[in-house]
Amino acid sequence: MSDYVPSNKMERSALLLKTGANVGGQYLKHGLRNAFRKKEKRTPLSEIHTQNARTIFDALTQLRGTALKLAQGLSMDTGILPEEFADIFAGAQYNVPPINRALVRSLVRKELGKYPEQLFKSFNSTAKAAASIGQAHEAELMDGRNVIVKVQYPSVRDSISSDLAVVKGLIRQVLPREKIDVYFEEVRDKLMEETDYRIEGSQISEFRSYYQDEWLEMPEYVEEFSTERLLTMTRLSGLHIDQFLAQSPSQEERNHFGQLLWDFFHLQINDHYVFHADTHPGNYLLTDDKKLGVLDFGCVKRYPNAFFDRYMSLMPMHLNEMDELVWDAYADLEMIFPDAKKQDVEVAFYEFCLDFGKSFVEPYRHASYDFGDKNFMDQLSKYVKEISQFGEPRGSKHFIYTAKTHFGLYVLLHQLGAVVETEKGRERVMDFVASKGYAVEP
Amino acid sequence: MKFKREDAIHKAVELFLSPDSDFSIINLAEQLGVSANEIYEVYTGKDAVLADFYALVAEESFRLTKAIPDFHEFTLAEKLTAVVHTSFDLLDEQRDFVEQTFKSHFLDSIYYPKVEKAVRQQLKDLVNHDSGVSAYIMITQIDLVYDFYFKEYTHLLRFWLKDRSEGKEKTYALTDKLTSFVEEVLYNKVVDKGFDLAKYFLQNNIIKLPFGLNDWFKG
Repeated sequence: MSDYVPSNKMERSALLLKTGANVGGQYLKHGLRNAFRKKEKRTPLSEIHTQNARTIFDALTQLRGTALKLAQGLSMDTGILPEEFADIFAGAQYNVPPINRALVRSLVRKELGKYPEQLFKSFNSTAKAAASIGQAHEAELMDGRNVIVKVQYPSVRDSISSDLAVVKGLIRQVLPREKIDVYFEEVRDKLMEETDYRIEGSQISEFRSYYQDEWLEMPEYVEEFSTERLLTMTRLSGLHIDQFLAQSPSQEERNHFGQLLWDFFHLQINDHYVFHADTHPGNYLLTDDKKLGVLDFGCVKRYPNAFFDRYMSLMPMHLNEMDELVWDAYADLEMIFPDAKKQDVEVAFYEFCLDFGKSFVEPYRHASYDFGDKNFMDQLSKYVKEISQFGEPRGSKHFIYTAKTHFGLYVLLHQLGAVVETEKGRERVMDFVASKGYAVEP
Repeated sequence: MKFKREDAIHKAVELFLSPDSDFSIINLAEQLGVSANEIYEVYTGKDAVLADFYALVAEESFRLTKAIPDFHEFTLAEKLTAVVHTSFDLLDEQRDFVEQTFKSHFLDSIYYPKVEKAVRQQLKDLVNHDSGVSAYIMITQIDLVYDFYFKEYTHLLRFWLKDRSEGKEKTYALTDKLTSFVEEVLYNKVVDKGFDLAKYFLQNNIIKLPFGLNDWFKG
């Protein structure tokens, strides 16, 4: 099979449209077929979901780039998609067919001026992992350091614009244009940033300088072997979450891994205002010496202070029933519009968010919390689904990555079935909020 | 030969591109520290030296590609792609020269068959060491495949030269499609399977041939 990645708008759009038609056809066929069948002989919708999820996933993986990023995003938001979709899309975390080894060799030469066999003591041209915008190869530097060399797929940047244009075109049919433009700009900017590996390299160094610790492991950026489209960093060894879970770890081990994830998230609540914003399973390792290895620094969100302080200030409000302060906070975060004509819609959305917020902070109400609790995740997923019923996207554009990070953390902890001591995290949030002059108690 | 072929070619390219020198065999001989006659023993003239650049690129591409440590793990399509990409890289190192001479000293040159021979030999070498190639193709069609591959190699070089897409993305895509196609043709086992089926029919008398020919197949 050819390893070519379509990159021009026409080819990519054609593939997406073909896939759309295919999926639509399946649902239509299913409906027609079942209309003439007795109830007990009808095909369950879940079977069609699974089949269609596979079709869409195949198309997205073929396109890689933005399309695959979208799949990854969708897989994080459990509840937005039917369960069968979420299961298959979760594969997008790290199961993408790699590109031709000969092409990898050419790309290394193009970026670093020499072929891999001339630059490295060893270079495994078979990709260790292939993801949305590039693939990773294991190599050894001449000085003996074991490294990961991330090679970006050709023309990923072009495909970002064309993919977003296609997806935006579809979404514009159901949502107001002015509302979605700002979100698309945020996603586009972040994706464009992710395609510049020098930015990722400097972010690796930045995070390493802030957080490298006895329980946290960050790679080391190897700048002399990196360019805008090729990134070299030292290699961490350990298990990804799915590999870890496949070994049937004890509850104690699950709790340990979960605690590290929880602590790392809360450690980032500080005056740097910068977050590792790609909370998906492929980006974390449990290292051989039981540390948390953090892998991918392409998607790092730098928050404006005002937004982040205000977002964090919601926590004590939701926890301590300080409802009288919430309206203003939501207004500051562009979740409600006090001057809007239809105030009943604003009030309805306010009440919905208040309920959602109070549920969301549930883990912070206890000294420890069992994230394996299915009811809790089901309830959150229900809220996520219900948001779409309001018919238009709301909230500051910075919420995109906030949700991805904070909700993503919950999803990971749920997958692990971890019981986490949450108290210190809560204290950290409260101290931070208080230091910014916001109320933490009624 | 009292001079290295690569040295002669590289020096010739250098002289050809130099605005200050008049490229001739005498100049080249001077630069190489040999006599003009010694060069004439190998090349018929200065154009022959320049044309040999393209044969050298084809040969070097293959040599460099075969030196990849895990080359044996590559699929046939990946091997061919690697050879073609290496050709692009080598041509790119002398881009000005290639732009000026690609037609005159390669496509329209009387030395074109030399490149053809080298490229065909490369594919032959790869095919002979690949157990996945169809026996039927090997026996009956292999020359056609060699011809096709060389023609496409030439087309790819020409396409590469004109390609203005970012990072030569179009050329990479075309190369990928072509080498995958060549692999598919070489690996096509439909006729092999057909023969196998016919042999089974004959050996088991499911189809009967006159004159006891079925026994011949059992042999």
